[in-house]
Amino acid sequence: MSKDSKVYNIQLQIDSQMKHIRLLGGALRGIGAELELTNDQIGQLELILVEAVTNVIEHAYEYKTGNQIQVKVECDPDNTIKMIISDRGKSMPDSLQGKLKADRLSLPEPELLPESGWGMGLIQMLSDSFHYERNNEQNYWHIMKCLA
Amino acid sequence: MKLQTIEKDEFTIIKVEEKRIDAVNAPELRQKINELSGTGQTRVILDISNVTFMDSSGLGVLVSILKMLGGSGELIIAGANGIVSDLFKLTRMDRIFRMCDDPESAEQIMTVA
Repeated sequence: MSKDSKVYNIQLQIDSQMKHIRLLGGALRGIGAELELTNDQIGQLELILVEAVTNVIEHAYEYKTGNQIQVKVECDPDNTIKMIISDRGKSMPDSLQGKLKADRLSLPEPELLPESGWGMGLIQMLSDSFHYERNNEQNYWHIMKCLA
Repeated sequence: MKLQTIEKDEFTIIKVEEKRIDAVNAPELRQKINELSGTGQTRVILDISNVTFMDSSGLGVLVSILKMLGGSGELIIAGANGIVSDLFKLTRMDRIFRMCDDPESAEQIMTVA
């Protein structure tokens, strides 16, 4: 597929199960390959998406299955890719929202041998903008990455 | 999780024969190495050269494996590439894990040590 100025919109939906996150990852890789993104770009986008959706399953749905997670991907191959991840679960915990508002990236100290806590920091590092909103009993994660 | 285990005299190589290490399959990896350490083998090369994606859940399990092997054990991560290698660097966990570009280099280190 040759690049042009067309903006592509793709909508994906999974059940709130960890194993279904792989389906999202596979779909995103396919989209990235069709749009001729680099392997680095595709890998980073997949990591962003997987970390975000894992967070939704963990915090919004507390690992309960049978709930919907929607991902809208809007891609202008010459400029940006935007992902909006939405769910109808619980609000993002204040502790995580605090990390988003902090000036510095929130990553655990390696020397403490952490086994978790990297997700939000990774999304912040790998994206060019990232914000969260709660609206109408739904959570929305807005993530944008520049491709140029 | 598909794993290939190669027993050497002084260490064991575990080759991950899957494309991903994530929240779904990482616990199986921990279980496998737990069984191994139960037999007294605590020097392990984890060959992840075939792995093209790992998330922070997978990384967390690798840290738990490092703790499980303890101070007398040794874990070398071999063959991390692409976004998997980036994950170690972004989280600065490349400071904590002993990492080699390929399993052959890791074997040399284990043999000399």
